[in-house]
Amino acid sequence: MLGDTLKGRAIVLTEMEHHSDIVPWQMLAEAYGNELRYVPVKEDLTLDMEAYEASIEGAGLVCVVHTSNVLGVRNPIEKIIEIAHKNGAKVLIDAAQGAPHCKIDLKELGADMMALSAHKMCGPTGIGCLLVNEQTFQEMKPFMGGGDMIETVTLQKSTYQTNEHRFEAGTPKIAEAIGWDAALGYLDNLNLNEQHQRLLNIARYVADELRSMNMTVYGRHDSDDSAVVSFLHPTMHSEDLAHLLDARGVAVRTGHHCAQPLLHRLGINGTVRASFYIYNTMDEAEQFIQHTKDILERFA
Amino acid sequence: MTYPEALVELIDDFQSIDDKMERLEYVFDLASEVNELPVAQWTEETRIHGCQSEAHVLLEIEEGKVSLKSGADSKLVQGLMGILTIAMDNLDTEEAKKITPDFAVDMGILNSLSPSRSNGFRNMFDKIMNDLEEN
Repeated sequence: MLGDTLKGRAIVLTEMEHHSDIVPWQMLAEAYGNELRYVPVKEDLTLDMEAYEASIEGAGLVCVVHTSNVLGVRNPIEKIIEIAHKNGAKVLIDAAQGAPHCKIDLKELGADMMALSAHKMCGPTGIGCLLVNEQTFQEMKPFMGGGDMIETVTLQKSTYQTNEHRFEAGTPKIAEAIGWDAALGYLDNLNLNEQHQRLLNIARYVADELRSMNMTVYGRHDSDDSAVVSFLHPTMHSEDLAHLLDARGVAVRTGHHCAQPLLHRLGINGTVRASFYIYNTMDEAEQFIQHTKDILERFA
Repeated sequence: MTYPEALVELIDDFQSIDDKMERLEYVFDLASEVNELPVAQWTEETRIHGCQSEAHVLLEIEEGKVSLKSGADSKLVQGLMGILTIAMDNLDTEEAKKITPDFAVDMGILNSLSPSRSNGFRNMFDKIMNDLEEN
């Protein structure tokens, strides 16, 4: 979509990205020869901002995750945008993990683009969106052709819609969009700041309890971080723990969380991740901890 | 099909367990049934591909009978190998070749596993059968 803008320019990513914010850029780089630069993650699980500043020269685009889906760490997005814009690079924020936990205003933030995913915010699977500021929107060209995105079609040439429909070829995701709209309406009626504080308290309690069980917890749970708790037992395989928790009615995610470069950086293959959201209670967190203790007592 | 006696007993054991959690925990307990393949002997040839964890199996034929050694970094996977050990270890090779993966369905264990683990179990079984054909 931004092919001309990015021609011959580097793209800055981070080691903390979800695969969905790495693989497409690798495909683009393979096709057009863009240089990809990766900002490292430091020992304290934050981005190396000095390395970021050093990598920005000549870059056309910075793609960065707002909040890590593995660590829950909220990145210094405002600073990242400021540095990128000073150097003439656009910024795309992956807010799939961040947006469900706090209200993000694209204009206020000053980013050029922001990606969201419905299934992370009580909506259906299979639908997401890309919010784009006006200037970037005018620079973007259709990347997928088909029905609905056209204005006219002749055997010689096609012309395209001028609004956002020019990016939506084919039959739209009608049911999913209606479902997401309902989910957004539901979230809009909640006080997300209050929820964020409540969930963070749960995450901090869980993280402390897991540490007391000799688990390694990958996250810091600062005030702006989200309530995901990634952890690993020193001997018990993450998949084993997840299966045993599942059999007790506790749903956790295991594996690389679609962030293999980050796990590689951490020197591990996978973690167990407990993600807390608006429907979870402290009572459930306590049950989760008790189940985990029972499992370790019997199987670890 | 007619299963070997030890496997029939194991299928009966699983069928008598109604609770999903207990059935899964029984698989964990069967990890002790494997003839251990030491980590030092894990090679690319012994690796079971398509398994989310590190899993290895070595099949040898000793006096016309199947000898299975295996190991994994996951106890659940090792338990699944324990099931295959009970099913196939020390069987005459021709008898072992007749076994199909349907016994796992009869046991009802696949419903207790995630799709990736079920797939891993099938990959284990397929590797053993392939190795058996090649021996």
